[in-house]
Amino acid sequence: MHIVLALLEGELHGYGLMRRVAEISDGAVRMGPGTLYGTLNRLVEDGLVEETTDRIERDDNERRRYYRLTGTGRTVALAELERLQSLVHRVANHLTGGSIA
Amino acid sequence: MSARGGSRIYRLALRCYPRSFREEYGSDMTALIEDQLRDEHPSRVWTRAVVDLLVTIPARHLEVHMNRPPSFVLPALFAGLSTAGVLIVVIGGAGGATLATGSMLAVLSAVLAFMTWRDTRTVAVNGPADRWWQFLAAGLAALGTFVVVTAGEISERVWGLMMVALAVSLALISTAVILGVARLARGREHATR
Repeated sequence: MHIVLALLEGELHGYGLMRRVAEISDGAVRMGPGTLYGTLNRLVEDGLVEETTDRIERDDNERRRYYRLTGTGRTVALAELERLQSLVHRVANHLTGGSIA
Repeated sequence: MSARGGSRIYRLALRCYPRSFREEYGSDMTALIEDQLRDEHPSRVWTRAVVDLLVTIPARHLEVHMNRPPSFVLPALFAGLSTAGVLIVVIGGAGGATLATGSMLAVLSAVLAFMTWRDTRTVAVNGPADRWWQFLAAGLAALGTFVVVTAGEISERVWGLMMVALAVSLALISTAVILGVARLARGREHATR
């Protein structure tokens, strides 16, 4: 889910994505390469994320691959964001007797 | 450890991932580690990388295994073993040990053949049935070895080994026949669609 949410702001390459996930989770989630690409592989297979064409050339002639949300991926990400916001809102209301809105 | 040496070791460790995953993402993963080494303290990067490898290598293998379509080879192999058991009983005669071994092999393999076939029957037969001739060639090779070796005088120990070779050859040839029939049936099914 962190990856999908991180891609809401636009396309990112693997390392950028890893840093963005660490950023939006305040450093709580730091993924290793196997976790990152394993998750990306599943998201691509599920049609939530797509690989974009190579954008920049690396110094050593390797190319980075960029990833972005598909239309479905964006819808799912926004729905999940809304669900989480609403959940936090409801729980906060219950815990504080409605003092936090 | 230097960054270059580290990434070389990491590339070696990537060989533990399934081939398909490694070929798709291996170079990206190495590039990512190199990027991290430029920005972070190496000890932190390597600690995280080792934990990541330990967790994700088995996970990726499991994923590949779970996504693999059930193969028709296993039930055919058990069916072949079962047929070999029947043949051992028929060829070996009514001797106690031969009868018991052959019967047990036939019954157990038949049960396993049914159980493994049940898991694969919804999957279209694809690929493995086309390899029937490989089983036939291996079976004939084992049978040929049996014939050549037993033509001369042999010790009791070698005779035991040759009986195993005979059972294996019969199992392989039976498997080849079953796979060949499956291939024919598939061809006929495609022709009627």
